[in-house]
Amino acid sequence: MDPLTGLEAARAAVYVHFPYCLSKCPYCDFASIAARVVPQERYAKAVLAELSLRWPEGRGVDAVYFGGGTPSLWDAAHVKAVLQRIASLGALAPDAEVTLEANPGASDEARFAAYRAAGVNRLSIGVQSLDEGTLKALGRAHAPGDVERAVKAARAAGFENLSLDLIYGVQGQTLAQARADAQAVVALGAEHLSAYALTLDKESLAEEVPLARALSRGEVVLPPDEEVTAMRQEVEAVFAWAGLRRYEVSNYAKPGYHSRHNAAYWTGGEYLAVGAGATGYRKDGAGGVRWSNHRSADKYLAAVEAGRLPEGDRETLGAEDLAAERIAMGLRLVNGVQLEGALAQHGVAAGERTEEVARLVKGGLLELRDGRLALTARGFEVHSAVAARLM
Amino acid sequence: MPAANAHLRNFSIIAHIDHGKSTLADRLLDKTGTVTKRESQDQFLDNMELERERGITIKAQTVRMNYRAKDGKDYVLNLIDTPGHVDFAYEVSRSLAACEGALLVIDATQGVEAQTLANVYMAVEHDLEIVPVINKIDLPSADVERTRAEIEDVIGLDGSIAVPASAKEGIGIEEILEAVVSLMPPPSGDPEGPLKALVFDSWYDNYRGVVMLVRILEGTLALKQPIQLWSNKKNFEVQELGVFAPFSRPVPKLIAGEVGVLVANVKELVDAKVGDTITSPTRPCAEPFPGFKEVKPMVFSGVFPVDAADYENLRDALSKLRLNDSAFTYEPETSTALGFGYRCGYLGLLHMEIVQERLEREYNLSLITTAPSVVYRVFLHDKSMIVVDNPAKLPPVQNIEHLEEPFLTTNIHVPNEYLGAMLKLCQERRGVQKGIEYLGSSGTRVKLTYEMPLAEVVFDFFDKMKSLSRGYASLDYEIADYRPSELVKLDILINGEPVDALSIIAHKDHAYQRGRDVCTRLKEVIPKQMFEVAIQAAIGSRVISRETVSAMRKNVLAKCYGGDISRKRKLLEKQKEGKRRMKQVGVVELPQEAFLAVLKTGE
Repeated sequence: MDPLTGLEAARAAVYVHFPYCLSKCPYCDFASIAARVVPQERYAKAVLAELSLRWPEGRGVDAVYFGGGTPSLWDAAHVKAVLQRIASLGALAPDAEVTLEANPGASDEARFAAYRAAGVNRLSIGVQSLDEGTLKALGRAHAPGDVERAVKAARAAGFENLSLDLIYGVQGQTLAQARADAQAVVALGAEHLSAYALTLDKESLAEEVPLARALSRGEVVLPPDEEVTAMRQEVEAVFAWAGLRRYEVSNYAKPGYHSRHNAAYWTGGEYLAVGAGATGYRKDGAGGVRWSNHRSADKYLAAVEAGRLPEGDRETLGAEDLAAERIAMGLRLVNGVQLEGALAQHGVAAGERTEEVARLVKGGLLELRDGRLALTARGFEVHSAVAARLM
Repeated sequence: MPAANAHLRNFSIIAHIDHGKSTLADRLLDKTGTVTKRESQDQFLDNMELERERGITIKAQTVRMNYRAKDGKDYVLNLIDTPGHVDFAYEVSRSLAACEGALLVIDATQGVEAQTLANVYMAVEHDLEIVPVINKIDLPSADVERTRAEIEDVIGLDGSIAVPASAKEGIGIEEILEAVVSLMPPPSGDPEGPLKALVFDSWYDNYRGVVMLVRILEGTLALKQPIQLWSNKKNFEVQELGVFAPFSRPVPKLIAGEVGVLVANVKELVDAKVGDTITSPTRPCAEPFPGFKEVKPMVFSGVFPVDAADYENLRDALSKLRLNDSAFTYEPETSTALGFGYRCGYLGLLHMEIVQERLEREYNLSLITTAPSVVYRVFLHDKSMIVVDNPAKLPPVQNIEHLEEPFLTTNIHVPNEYLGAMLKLCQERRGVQKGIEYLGSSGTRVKLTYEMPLAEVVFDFFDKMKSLSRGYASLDYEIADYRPSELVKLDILINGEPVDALSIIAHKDHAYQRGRDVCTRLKEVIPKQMFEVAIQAAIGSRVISRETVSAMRKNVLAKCYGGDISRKRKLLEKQKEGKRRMKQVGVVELPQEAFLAVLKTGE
């Protein structure tokens, strides 16, 4: 339990990135590469080698997350090898949350059962939409029917913790369609749902994506902000009706089912990262270090195989940076964050923040809930603007 | 006349803004060998960075050229460059007073432009011999004969003496120099007479103190000589004399008719006022050179640092600027909206823009300037009178018996075809017509005389006049007197709080329109914020106009996991940086432009 946010969060997590995909989605800014033949073995060796290179001594782990890319393209034997390596290097808690992202198109019960047997206990399925038109607008290869099959397969394989992703605010999408999509995804009965507004503005993306270029050329027009906000409110209402409560800007869960791994990101937890394009963070005295591996799989493989750390970028974070991040990330949570606690944790003075908080509270954007500073419903829509004032 | 100054010619160049004045000056310097190729840089006269960029001359400049004419005699030609804007009309008049002749440059492709006319008339008033130069004859669209006809018709000068030229191509330059020598008279004045010299420019030099540009009218100025300034009777001693050729070169003396630089241990610029007369304390001249005026700021605005930490830097910058510009004044001002700053006084709007640009550029300051105001006289019920140059400082309305505002006498020269538009504009601006006169042989040009409130002229009159006459109308003005006016204070409220720095004083008949215009303009410049922003204009407690900037709908990053956090933090830091350049009024952040929104309205 993170005392500042009241959220149960992994204190030490491992993120494993698998960059390969069958095809590239035009909105995706994660490190990914469309590959006809996936170098299963070679990539596994590299990840295992990197784990050994990076592993800090005496480190226990309470969450592992296989993200991508499409990690469900990686054979269960390799996933198992990675989990075993983590277990042998440190202590993988028996109740650790182990998530793997899966594509609805390339899924069957046997495959899912193999992941379950390897130690994966949570699947995150990239549904995105159950509307054919919206899936097409998003350039997704799978059909609505694939999603239902994938969910059934996962249940049959023994997964009791499923998460599904939804995207809204897609070009051509109406409010009614977004609502129908939310209802269809809820009907699948997952324990956890993520709903993301389609994001194409350059400053927010890790790399320029084809759909963003189409947007700047005027070939694609997104629904206006008012509409997208209304869609999000619809999504939230539909999810809440089914008992999935919002706990973060874009995440919803049945009680007890929020993502422990992702919660580490929002509560200042440490996360070891391996694989191409993966970003990790560890504490370092009063500050911290955040690194990102090469986004190119080839560059990544070459570095690890040469016995070098495959880092593309490394950033040293000071107390001010960490306090700012702790506040900005904490405000993404419905629970909010203890402002004084967050500042005190990093030894940073409140300064103008006290006055700013008073103004924002008066303006109806922030409120005190259970001793924590939290965004109001209205405040959530403009999280960035509020957070910028409290940096 | 075998006088000592028969070989001297003092002249200036009058030209419309892009008709080639600076290029012509450069050619004259080339031709007379004053500037060698190595030293040559385009537009030599405009040596202030800002002048170069704006293509205008702010301070007067002089340069001395040696020229052997076709008559075989050697002449000394002093080119006196003049500022070219109505804000500096007085400085122009003093520079012209130092000359006997003027070159009037007219673009052969454009014909006579009205902006030059005011200066032409001023030159005529000073009895200058005007030699027209028809420039840009190398261009295919040049029409020399038509331009010649216009010189006669529109200006009323002898078109036959006009010299066709192309400053750019170096055509006609020698002919121009010959015309200067043969057509312009040498200066009069007796080198043996009692000293009488005109200060036509002065500035502050970090190493030498105050430097004056002087024209010797009578007598001789020599090194070590005691001198006295007429206006304040202060005595100084000549320490340095020089001429620009083109760089400053020392000379032992300056005789009647000559133009040069004088340094005389004057410490403060206020002691070397433009237009003042220098004489000898022991053998004074009988009377000063006429036309001296104390230049007073007519327009005031608040200047505030965007970042409060820059306050000290702003004070230093203002004091340095003031050393160089005695027409400019400043004193501390406090605003509830903008914090600590200064109330600055200027000759006019261009002067204000120049001062602001120099502060920002030369002193690297980021500033907020409030809308300019004139000086009002406020008569209170207790029979006392106070002077207010800041709308925010206007006493409560119940204490005011009446208000008075400064009026100008303005002369507008305009081609007949734009007369209707000009009459309408003057009437809208509360002008009182005092005269209408048709000029020129064919009556195609009209001189309008109006008495008009200065506040109306300050409020984008010049721009409106130019656009309504396609640039052909010209304006000159002088302060006439103060008159009672029905004025009201217009307050602007942001989310219900009055913003002192946005208050203006307006005529009661215009206040509604101004209020609406300001609200509309503010709506355009205030970016969407987290909160709805209500913009209101009010007279007293009566709200007369309202606009609303709706709150931003959505500003949240949907996906924020491990790899997004650093990028997100940097984005937020950038957002916070942007906020620093804003001024916070309550919960609302106002951009710099908002504080000038009251200045420009309408189209």
